[in-house]
Amino acid sequence: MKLQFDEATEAFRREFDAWLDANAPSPDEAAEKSRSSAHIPEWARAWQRTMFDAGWLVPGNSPEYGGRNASVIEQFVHLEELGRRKIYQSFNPQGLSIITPSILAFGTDEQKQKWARPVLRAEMTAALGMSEPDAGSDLAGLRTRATRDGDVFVVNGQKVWTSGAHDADFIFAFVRTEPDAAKHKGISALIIPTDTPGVTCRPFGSVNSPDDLDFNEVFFDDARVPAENLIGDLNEGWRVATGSLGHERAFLWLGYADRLDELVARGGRVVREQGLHDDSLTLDWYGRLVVDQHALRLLGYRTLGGAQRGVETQEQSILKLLGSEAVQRATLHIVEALGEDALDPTGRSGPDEPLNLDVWTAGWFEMYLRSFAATIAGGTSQIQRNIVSERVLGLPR
Amino acid sequence: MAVDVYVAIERARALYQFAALAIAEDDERRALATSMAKAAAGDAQRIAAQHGFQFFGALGYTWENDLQLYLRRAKAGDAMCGTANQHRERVARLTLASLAAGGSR
Repeated sequence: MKLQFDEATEAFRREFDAWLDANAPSPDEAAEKSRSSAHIPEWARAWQRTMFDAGWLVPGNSPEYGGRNASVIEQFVHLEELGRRKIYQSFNPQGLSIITPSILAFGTDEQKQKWARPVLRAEMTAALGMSEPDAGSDLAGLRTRATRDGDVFVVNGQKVWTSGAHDADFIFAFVRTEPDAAKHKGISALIIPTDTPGVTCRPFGSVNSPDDLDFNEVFFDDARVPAENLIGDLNEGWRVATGSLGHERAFLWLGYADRLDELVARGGRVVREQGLHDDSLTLDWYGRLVVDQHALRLLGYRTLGGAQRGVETQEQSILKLLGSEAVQRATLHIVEALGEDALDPTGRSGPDEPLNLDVWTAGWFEMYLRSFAATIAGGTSQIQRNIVSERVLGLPR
Repeated sequence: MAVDVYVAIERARALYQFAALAIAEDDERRALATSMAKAAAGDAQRIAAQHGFQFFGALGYTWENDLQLYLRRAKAGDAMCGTANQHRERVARLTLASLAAGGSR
């Protein structure tokens, strides 16, 4: 038995590779940087549209939505090649990977044309309105109210951590439409354009810099939103929130696997340059990093195989735990190995990758700070452990 | 705690399966794969033993409880053919040598 994809899959990979060779922007064209997760520079808008038109943006979608009805394995190979070439699939990642799949799964044909297609074609960008001051990991505790008044919903409340909201055209928001229903039952998904009167987006800095503006507080003050912007049925928002990702979940680990590959390569360079290649403490953490790197990829392929066979698993929680904690641990060790060199504000942790997000080649100290996001964003490690203990191990809540 | 034990076991399981396949195929990564598997198995036994005692409480500290059987077996396994610590070091040296030689990984 060989650990490899079949010939048809490799032919698919070669076709995509050849297309990228012929069509990917040159580094000169890609000079302008993205400033938030809902800001796509002009060159990247054109590039995303080129991928869309060729059916290479989201291959699993139909051609109408930037795809080619590709199989699960082909979709994976597509992401693998983008990762290998350091090409960011979209500079509005939540729009592409979370919001458009939700609209395509739960929206009407008209809504798909009006909201999903423009986001996929980078004509619009979107932010995800989930967390609130009192509802983060416990999403079902959200309190932002949407009250029906004729043809509109009147929205009042507050979201927070809404990445990119100040640069986004709309917020895909989860709101409470039935205050008396049980927690999970009274929630709906509503598209709220950011230029609606009564919507205020207030960006705030991250641990990296006061100028690193991606997080937002979003305030809704009698914002009147067309009722036709409801995605999915009234009070069925929980289903939209949990059911929209489908098999995309089986791919989420790949981002961590790519980062661990980078950390092994860049960390190895640091170890040699610092003359630590015979230091037993260094060899211990570095060896563990390599073990984690391989374990994540092997477990990831196992999950992928399950997704191909249509097996529903909770393994993505294990993959996220393993991947995010390994990235965090390795980054800390590399920073410690570097000593004072890690503090050089002009230093970069890797060579420029013009088509990728700038931050992945940031200096080591910034990499260290950013590594803390890994165990919080997208469901904290604590939440992942709860999921595994309840759904995999069958322990009581 | 139970989840951490579970993740450690799955991590070790994936790596021993990879090692078995690498050996069966005479793949050039078989030395690396074998050491990774032994290191991960050692990590798993350590965390399972540590948390296992906490799960069982004082009962786990009795002769009558089977925990002591598993613990003896796991610790003997880790000590034989190189401990997890020794294999991690080997994994690190193999990888650094491969990187220095310009290998992909």
